Amino acid sequence: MSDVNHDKPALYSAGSLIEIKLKNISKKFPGVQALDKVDFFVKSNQVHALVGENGAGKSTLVKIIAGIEIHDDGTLTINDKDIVFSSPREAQNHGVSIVHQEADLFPALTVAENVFANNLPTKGFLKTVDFRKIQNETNELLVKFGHPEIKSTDVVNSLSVGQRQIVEIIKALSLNSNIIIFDEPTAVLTPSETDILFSIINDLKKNNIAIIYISHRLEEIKKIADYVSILKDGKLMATKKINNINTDEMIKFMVGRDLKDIFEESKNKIGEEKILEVKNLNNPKFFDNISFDIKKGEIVGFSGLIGAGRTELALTLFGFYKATGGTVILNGKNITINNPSEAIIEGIVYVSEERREKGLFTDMSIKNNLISPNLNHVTNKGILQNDKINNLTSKSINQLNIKTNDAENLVLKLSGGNQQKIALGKWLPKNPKLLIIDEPTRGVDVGAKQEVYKILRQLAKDGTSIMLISSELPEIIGLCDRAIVMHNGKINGQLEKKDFSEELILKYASGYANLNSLNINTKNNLSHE
Amino acid sequence: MNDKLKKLIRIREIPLLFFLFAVAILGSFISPYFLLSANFSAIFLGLSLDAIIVIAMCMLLISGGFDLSVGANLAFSGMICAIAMANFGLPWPVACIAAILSGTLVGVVNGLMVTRFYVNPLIATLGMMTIVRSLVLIVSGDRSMSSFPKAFQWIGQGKIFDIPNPIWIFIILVILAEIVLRTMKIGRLPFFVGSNAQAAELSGLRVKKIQFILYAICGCAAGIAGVVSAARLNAAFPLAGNGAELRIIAAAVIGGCSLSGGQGSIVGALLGVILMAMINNLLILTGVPIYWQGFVAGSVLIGAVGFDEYSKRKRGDIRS
Repeated sequence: MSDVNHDKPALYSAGSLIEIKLKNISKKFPGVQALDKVDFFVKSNQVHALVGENGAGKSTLVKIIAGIEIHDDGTLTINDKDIVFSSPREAQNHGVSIVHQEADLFPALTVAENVFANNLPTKGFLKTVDFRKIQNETNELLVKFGHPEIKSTDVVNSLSVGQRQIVEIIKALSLNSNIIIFDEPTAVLTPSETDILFSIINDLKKNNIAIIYISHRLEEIKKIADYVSILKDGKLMATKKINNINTDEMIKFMVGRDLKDIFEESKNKIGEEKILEVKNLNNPKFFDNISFDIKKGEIVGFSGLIGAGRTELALTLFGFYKATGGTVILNGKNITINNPSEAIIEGIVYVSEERREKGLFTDMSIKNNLISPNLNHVTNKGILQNDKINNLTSKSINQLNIKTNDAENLVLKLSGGNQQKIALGKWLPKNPKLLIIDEPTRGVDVGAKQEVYKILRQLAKDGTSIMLISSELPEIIGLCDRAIVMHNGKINGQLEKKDFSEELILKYASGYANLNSLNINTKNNLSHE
Repeated sequence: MNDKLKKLIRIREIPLLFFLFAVAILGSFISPYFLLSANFSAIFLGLSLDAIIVIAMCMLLISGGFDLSVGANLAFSGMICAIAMANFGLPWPVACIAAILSGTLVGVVNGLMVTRFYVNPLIATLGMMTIVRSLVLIVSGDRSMSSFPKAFQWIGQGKIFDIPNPIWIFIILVILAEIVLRTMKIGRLPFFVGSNAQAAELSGLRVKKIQFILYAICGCAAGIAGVVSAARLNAAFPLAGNGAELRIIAAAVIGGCSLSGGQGSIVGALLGVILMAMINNLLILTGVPIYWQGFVAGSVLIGAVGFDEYSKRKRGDIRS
């Protein structure tokens, strides 16, 4: 089966060379300058990596290249011809495809149908779908890329995450793409799946395909990329040949700004008493045997990769998921929490990473959002008290520095930063004992980030213990008193503030090191596994 | 206070009220009978059953729920009431209570299906609708029951200050519900649940409990309407309330409720019911063939919702 029929047009375009260039690209979203005069390029036979923290503008940049967003300013050229993509379809016609992090497939359809979803070949007078053709061609590609175990007739539902990604890549190839964008492809892959992906990418490269590769994992980029561009807060910090830059320098560019500007020196007075003690907490679906504690007024950072189980752990402590074993002790008292309502009564509150989906009532007013968990504070014998509502609202708006002229404005009209301040601030009147906050600054601009940090610090100072889940290392390092790193549902490392370093946290997070076998001084391990 | 007034205008009631007046003025030109108090009394008496149910339906819609079984439930409760009096010889107050309880029970089952067994509300209540319609035929043998005690008939036929009792009943219920929804803590809950159930759950609200109670209330309202219907007509018909569910949901939506939940008001929903009743009345008075009623009702529904969604997107209240 290895000799592919060469009479048929190749399913991936090995033919034409392509070069795409972006100049001075700017894009503004309400409240955020997502991209500010960014230059970027990639051409056939190259892998150009794009790195940066969350919110740096990587996704926006590739969305512009893929026609999902349209830039406000600047030029995009393909083979030196000016072009503006007004839809993903148009970008696809020019050979641009994205392989999404969470596979963007039709789960109930077969692999072949997914691969050819956009251009099902037909036959005969009745234009019936030529299933044999799509199955054969899909099978050919699967074999070619070393995955004969995936069959074109498999239903996508039955595939693993890694296999789904391969289907996505093959789908991109069937569209004759010559630019393929990988958006954090390895975030959901196991190490061996990652190796397979890399060999596929190398194959593609040899076949004249241009590749844009987004990742948080800098060690990967050293392995796979030819060029790397580093974005920070929407600005291009540097574009370098991969051999001319090392991981430390990349991190420096990514973090860029002086950490001290954002994170004032922490002077938390951490109490001795343990507010939260978790012992051997289990949930076979998400994590196992989790034990840790948080002291009064302490901010404990939870680092780890996507899928490490941090959010699920948080939601279990909050009563949204049920633990199958283990104990949770709050304020010295053994507690069992069956639902969020009980957690809140115990003094545990949770701010979700998906604030629009899970944190806010976006089509309701600021006022209604702020009172939503505090209805008992603003009622008297069950009757809403307008003066109390107004007091609470205006107090919160001032305290959180929410920029609005009217508490009746709808939340969906606010910027991400202001929305986040509401999602967090609605809990303040409850004086929580433990605040669990998940990715507190995702999609929030730098100014609002600082304000969120200030609020968190103030809360800690006032004695609230904080469990902070974050994928942004500077946030963990700058804000937290202690860091716990999770990998694959387990706690893989704990660091005191004095031991904080991005490399060390990354190592724990990627599972390459664990407490026993770690040698802190061998930094170069990162690039060689 | 002025600001509050503005907010009120942005909700659907005010434009709806204007539209209502426009229809009334138009009506007075078209038909000399339209503005007579007898005609108005007839309109309001005619819409009283829908009005009783729309109160509960509105709260349910606000919470993101949905109930197609109210029409069947109305017939069922009326029949239970009739059977309790005629076949079991129960005193009429006891029969009324039994009927309202049976209506509530239907709502409770709906609530259980939706909140405990995760059946989609459309499916759950659609299934319930056919089940209950069938139950009505089973218990009645497809026969109407009539000749109820005078005291019982008074519920539906009597007047206080020259206003028929069914109108009093729905006015009182509207006022009560409106007070709860606007001023009480529990009145906020359906809005939170309907606006974003996940966020509501994570804000500590007992989402399932709230949804369950709202389904039960909807059943209860259908039960009350069933009793009033039986009393007013001095008869319980197997086909009572046929088609009421869609008429009521349409009226609530015209009145500003959203099928996706989170918004709506009882006064708005009531105005929706009144508007539809007035338009129908006008069509009858002007001798438009009855076949056109559905055409007009559907057009008003689509027009009102279409206009509202369009203007919301224009204002940017919703991102399309």
